[in-house]
Amino acid sequence: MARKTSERGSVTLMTVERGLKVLRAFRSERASLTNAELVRRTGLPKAVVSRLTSTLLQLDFLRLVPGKREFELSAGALGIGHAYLATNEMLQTAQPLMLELADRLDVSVALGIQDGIDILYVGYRVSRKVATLRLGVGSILPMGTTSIGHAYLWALPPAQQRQLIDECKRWTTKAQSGALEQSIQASFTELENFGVCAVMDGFQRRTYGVALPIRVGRQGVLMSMSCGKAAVKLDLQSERARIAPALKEAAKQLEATLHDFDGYL
Amino acid sequence: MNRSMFHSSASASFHFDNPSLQRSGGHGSIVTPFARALSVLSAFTLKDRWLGNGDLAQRTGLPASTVTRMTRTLIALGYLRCSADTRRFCLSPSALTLGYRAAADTEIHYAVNHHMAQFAERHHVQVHLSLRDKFNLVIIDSCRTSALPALLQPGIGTRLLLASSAAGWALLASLPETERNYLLQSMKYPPQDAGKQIRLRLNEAIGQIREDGFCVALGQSGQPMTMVAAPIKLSGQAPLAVSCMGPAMLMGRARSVRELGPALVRMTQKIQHGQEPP
Repeated sequence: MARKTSERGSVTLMTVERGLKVLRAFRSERASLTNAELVRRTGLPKAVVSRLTSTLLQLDFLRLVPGKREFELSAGALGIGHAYLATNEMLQTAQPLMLELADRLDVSVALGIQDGIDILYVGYRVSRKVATLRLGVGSILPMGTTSIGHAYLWALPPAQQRQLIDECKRWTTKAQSGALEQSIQASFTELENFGVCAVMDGFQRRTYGVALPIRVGRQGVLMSMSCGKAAVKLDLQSERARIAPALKEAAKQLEATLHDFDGYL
Repeated sequence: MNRSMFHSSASASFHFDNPSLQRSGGHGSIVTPFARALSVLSAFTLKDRWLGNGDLAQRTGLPASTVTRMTRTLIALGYLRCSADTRRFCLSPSALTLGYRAAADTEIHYAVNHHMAQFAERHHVQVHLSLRDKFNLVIIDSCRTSALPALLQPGIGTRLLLASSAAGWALLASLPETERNYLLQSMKYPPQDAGKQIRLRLNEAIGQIREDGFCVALGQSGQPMTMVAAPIKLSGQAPLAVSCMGPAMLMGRARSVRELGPALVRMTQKIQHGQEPP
């Protein structure tokens, strides 16, 4: 009996994991995908993917692009995400501080945590003057090529750090992998010297980010905080110098403000 | 919040015996364990961080043993976390990876938000942007007004019944006729007179939208809020509706029809023409 229950549990686990994998393959982006592209991204058999997309269609997590055999994300996950954000006191408490920093520096401010080899934005505020770089809460950015990712990596214990860097590199070509390692190490040196790291073109072209790690709540949960902006002509070093003091100050305040929370995100 | 108008927030999750989920025609069959897992995640609302097995079973319509299997699965996959006493569950940040951003944070949403905020400030009403989700509408953006207590103002993610709210009528009005008829036929109505009443109101509202570009649902006993709504059509976007809401004693027929309705229509025209607010 117990065995039967656990078998049933593991079948459920596999099915649900596959379904969520298909949904996550959209990476929170608006771009539409075909079943074939989803097969490529998830590595799941075609028949499995098409049953899962048809389920997601019926539950309104996906919709069909009119006139095409392509899917895009629909309103299904809206309520789930909102429920998470609205009931998370720690993130709510962080909002005013982030907005203040965004307005002061005319940048966007993001709070991110690890999601596999990516960074997931759990908080995001944008200065009213920033017109571009519209990445919001729920955005998923590559850890290996962004300032917010590098700052997160830097704060990890050495073994975990190495493992995650290698994992990031595994998804690149050999040539890219060397450049990736180099840019991560350069950020680490910056973090040691200045307490922040600045990275250009990390995710969107012609944008930059300046980031540092923070630890919040009683559990000391590791997060990463960044300021970002679109940049047409700019000197990254001087931007780093402009942003670093205010960012460090805000990070200190945030850690102090969130110190007494249970610390779970 | 008035439950008769706001399809109770608990129904943000789809109840599992919802017939629309079990219809196997159209798109083909459903992968049941996956659908159940999503319904457990969808059971969480803005009001409750923690839910127990019992709450989840009630909200999803699933048997307790299934709920247990689902919560275990979702904890193992990192989408739920359980409390220290392991009796209650809350969503994990991974809940944000399932498409939240695409729905909540589009370019258009940004553009529309400016107009809405201005409208809320000028007219002292709450303004919503909503889209259709099956037989409900979902509020995807909201600009509150300080003139009303926050408690009376439904938040983002709130679902209302399409057939009995002004914003729902506006969404229905902007659909092609065949699609609208299909929806109206598949909807569940209250029995007899109440259902007839709803259909009558709906037809009237669609007529009003054709004529004036907006429709009005006046507050009355049992539903003290008035709502005025207008559709927005943007190329390449699912139909949207903007609506404003306030207590019936401040939003009577005259003000709704003469001031707020036309102002909403002007706002939708600006949005449709891609104008920045002044």
